[in-house]
Amino acid sequence: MIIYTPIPLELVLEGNSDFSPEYQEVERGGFKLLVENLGNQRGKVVRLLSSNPQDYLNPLLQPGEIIKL
Amino acid sequence: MRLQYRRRPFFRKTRKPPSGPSVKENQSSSTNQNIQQLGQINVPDLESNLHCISIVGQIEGHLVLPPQNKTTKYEHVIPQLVAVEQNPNIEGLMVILNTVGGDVEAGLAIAELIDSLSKPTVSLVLGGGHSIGAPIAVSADYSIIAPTATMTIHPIRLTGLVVGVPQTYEYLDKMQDRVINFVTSHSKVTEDKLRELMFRTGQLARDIGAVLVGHDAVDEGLIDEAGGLGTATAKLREMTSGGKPEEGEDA
Repeated sequence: MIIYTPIPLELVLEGNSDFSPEYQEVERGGFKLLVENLGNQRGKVVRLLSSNPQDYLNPLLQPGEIIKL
Repeated sequence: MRLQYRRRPFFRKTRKPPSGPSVKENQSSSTNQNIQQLGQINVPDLESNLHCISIVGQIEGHLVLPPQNKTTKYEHVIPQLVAVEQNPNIEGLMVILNTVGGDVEAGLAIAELIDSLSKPTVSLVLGGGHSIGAPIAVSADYSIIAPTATMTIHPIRLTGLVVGVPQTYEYLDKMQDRVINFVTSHSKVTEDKLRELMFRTGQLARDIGAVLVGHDAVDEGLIDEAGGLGTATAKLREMTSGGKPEEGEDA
């Protein structure tokens, strides 16, 4: 794996060693989502697990969306 | 008794929002979230026959990057491109780039998909389309760069688990060739020119390479035209409607 960027690598990977997010799989409205637990019953969508390509156009299922756990 | 009576409405008021999830509530919560995250509310619904994908920040590949990076996740963009290809309501795709590069394989994967999409595609480089952003920019049928946008062309450097042996150089050269071959076969820039830009000295503070600002990228043949959103939309509309520009110029 090669990261090709003009930004110094030490800046890109800063904090990588203590970055260990907690992921969990949840189901919302029939969609399976991989969610990063932010605590306080909130979760950030990391990935949508679906084989239907049209689901990926749904703005409520984009990575970064905050959902209630 | 009086105390109880007074308390109830207060209790209700605070408890009401979390209970009873309805479609309406879902919408308002997504609006709230938009205000919180993007500082803006939803724009009015408008059926568009064009789809826009923005590639921002780092292109995240096989490694999840630490949270200070703003990233574009290739595992989400790839099915989106499949959906664009498949959806009969989408007639054209605009790819807006403001990226600092990222994972070579993820970047090339997105570039190859945009290239092989059967619908008309236009790319618009705003701000920056550096490193692996270059193959993505040239992968569209027509590429446009904002006059103030920059593209950094520089060699691939060593990262990750690579041992320091003479073969390492060959490996890097191979990775470099993948990028160079893609860019030269999808734009007017020649291989010699691209290599010359890549190994130019005196333009980058900590690296060798070249910085192409707006028109420079067009002059070198990397990008088709300098312009903006109006130019890109007009071009895409022209391509989707089979050559005839629709209803007046709004550029």
